[in-house]
Amino acid sequence: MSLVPEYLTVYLNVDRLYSGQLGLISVPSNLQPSGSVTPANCGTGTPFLWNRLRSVTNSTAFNDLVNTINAEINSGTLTPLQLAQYKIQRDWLQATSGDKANVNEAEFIFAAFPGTPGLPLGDGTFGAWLPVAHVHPLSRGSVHIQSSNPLTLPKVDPNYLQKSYDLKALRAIVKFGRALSQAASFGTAISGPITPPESAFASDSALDTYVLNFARIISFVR
Amino acid sequence: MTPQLLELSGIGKSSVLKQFGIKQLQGMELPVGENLQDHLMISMTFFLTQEAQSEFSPRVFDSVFER
Repeated sequence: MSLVPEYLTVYLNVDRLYSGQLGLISVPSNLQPSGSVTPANCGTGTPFLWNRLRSVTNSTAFNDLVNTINAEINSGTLTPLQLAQYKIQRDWLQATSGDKANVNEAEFIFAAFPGTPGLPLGDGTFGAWLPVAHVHPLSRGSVHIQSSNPLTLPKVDPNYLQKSYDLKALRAIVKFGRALSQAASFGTAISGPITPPESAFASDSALDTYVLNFARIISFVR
Repeated sequence: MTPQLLELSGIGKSSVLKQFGIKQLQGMELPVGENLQDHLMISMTFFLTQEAQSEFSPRVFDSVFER
């Protein structure tokens, strides 16, 4: 069970978030937790940070992602459309210059949530909320009718995390989110983790288990 | 044009259309409704320090989030 279940489907008013009302925990301009990361797309007061997978991974994890997407491309099981798309996504992953090097796969949103009775922060005080997402997954799902009746809704099967690449990417992104929370820039705002608990970072398999149990859909509307 | 409208109109994979007795239009064996892409998030949450707590109130929260 998630500690903040009802807010996983909350709709963010993006304009108001951009207005900087939560500026206290917006991305500090000097945030460089790994020594190589710069929030290039993130101005002062903007609670969104986008980054590339190659910027949020170490060389071992990055090479694993490259090998994994190459294995998919060489598997011989892809449709022509999938094959073309995966090659484009591989370019985004590997590019070191040009437009393709500006495509970010990882998203971090800095926000806050109020405590809920019966859960941590049940006294109504606020916690920091950092939804992190992998926005260019390899998994492909489907939308098909389930009746000839036009009033029957179609069946949507997103097929989330069907590809191991997506789990590896989310794993790296969650690790980076943790590094962000521990950055010196947040020292006056964040005092410790609620979710994921520290135990989820004990090993990659522990983190994968956490991701598989707690990954959720996120939607944005204006 | 949504996959639902296309399939109900006889455009799409015969393996789907046949299940519901929909006749496929000639030459319309197309991968309708395939290749859906969507993304997931993990909700990371943290305790705020007392100093940070003082910046928030339910009123601020209500003005930012809409349910």
